Amino acid sequence: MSTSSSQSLPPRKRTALGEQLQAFAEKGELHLQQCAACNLWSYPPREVCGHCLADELSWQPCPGEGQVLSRVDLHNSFEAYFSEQLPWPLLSVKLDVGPVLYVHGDGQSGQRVNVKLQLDAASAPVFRAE
Amino acid sequence: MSRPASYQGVALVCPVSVGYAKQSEKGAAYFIGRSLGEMIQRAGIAKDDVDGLAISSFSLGPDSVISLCQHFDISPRYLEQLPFGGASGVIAMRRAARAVQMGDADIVACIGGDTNQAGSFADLIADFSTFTRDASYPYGAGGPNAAFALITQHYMEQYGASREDFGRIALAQRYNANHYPGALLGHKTLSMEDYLNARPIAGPVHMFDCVMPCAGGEGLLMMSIERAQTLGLPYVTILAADELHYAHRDDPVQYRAGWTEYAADLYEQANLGPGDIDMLQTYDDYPVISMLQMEDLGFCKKGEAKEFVRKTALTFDGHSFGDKTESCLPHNTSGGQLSVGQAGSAAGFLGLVESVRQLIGQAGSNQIANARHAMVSGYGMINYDRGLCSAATILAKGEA
Repeated sequence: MSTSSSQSLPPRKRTALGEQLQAFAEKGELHLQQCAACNLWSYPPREVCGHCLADELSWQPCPGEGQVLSRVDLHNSFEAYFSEQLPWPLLSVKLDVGPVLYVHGDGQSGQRVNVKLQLDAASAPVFRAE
Repeated sequence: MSRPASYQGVALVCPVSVGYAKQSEKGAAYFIGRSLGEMIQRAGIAKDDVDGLAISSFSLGPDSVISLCQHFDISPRYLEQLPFGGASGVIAMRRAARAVQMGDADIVACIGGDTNQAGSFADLIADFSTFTRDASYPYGAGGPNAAFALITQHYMEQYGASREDFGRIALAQRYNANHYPGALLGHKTLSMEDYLNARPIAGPVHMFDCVMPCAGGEGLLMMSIERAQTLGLPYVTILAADELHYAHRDDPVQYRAGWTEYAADLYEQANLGPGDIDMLQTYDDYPVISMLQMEDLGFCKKGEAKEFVRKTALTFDGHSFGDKTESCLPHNTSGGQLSVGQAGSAAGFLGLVESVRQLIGQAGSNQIANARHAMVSGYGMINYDRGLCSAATILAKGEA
């Protein structure tokens, strides 16, 4: 995703649930957890449905359309990968299906975007707005 | 929904702020233990008279409040540990007050204490919660700066607040800190020019919007009013207190928190209005959050904190910085975290401890004249995109 020549890599650490996005990111297919009992979408990854608490969450293909809620440029980071490439834009996006995601990419508040699931420079799953 | 029962009969005494340092090689137990030591000395009681401990600390692990019994050689019959960051002080006070009222403990020491060793803040934010690990940290949004930058940017776009408005809060707090010897940044003045020209951190958030992580301890003792009077200790009482967490959870971006749901009840139970409050202590980990508290606690309407900070002197003595202020509301009277420093969980006790010091007339050169009532507010725990905790209390100077 990055064209940087940096030696540093983005943080690789995820929870066991977060790691499950890896397979979908490798195929470039946006998936989020959806509950079979109430149909609602969950993010960040959860152990049980955040709405009805059922044990029926599974990763499902998810439409990526959404709207930028807020956008800032980071001028400081504890992680070398980002601090070597400042300013680094950060967006929060509300997907039309519900969840709010922090994503990479460019955009301004109010803008309509399409969120993709991709691999970052550490080959870890991340969301990116286009 | 039912309301909390009265907190009558409970006294807050012996406020202490201990051991503040930018960094320390000491462990958290040092700051908690020295806070306890100083409090019992001031109270004139024996260590074993303290039979309850309510503790908050981010850096105490792998120890917990039970470990502290052996560290400090005490045998309490009431233990509480409160991992609620910036709301931990007011929450600890609420829990301890019930213990005292119900006889679960006679004297509870409420203490927030944390160390700040080299690299420990970076370690804390790298793995603050499962949600941050999956959904914030991989995006460069390590720690609260990025989350609050997004919240601040949204608030500015929504309500038209400017950086100068946030600066008014920071300047007044620095002025207060210039009169509070315990503030780590109290030896430096801060001008609006300094504020506006500060190094950018994230979006609209610049250097002087951010707190400085540090080490330190904050604490107070809670006991019955009768006990406080017998010991001859000046005390403070609780007129009302409440908390609500992860309220307004469908708001896509945080612009309010749980205070909206109980502020009116607090005033009604205290039989006071916002105009009767002599000092406001907000949780100021970013000035925008202080603005949310000013609005949600009824000092002004939603979105109008910008006008409120322009027309209200926020210093302990009414000093203003060129604005034509119409009134005075001393705010974060020791300098808040922005100028004292953020000693981890102790920062969640900062406003509570400072309010007790002010109300019993032991504040020193930042003393507010004739203060009778304080509003103390807590906020905290950025689990992902917002602070989850809210708590607030109205305190009153005890009858002599």
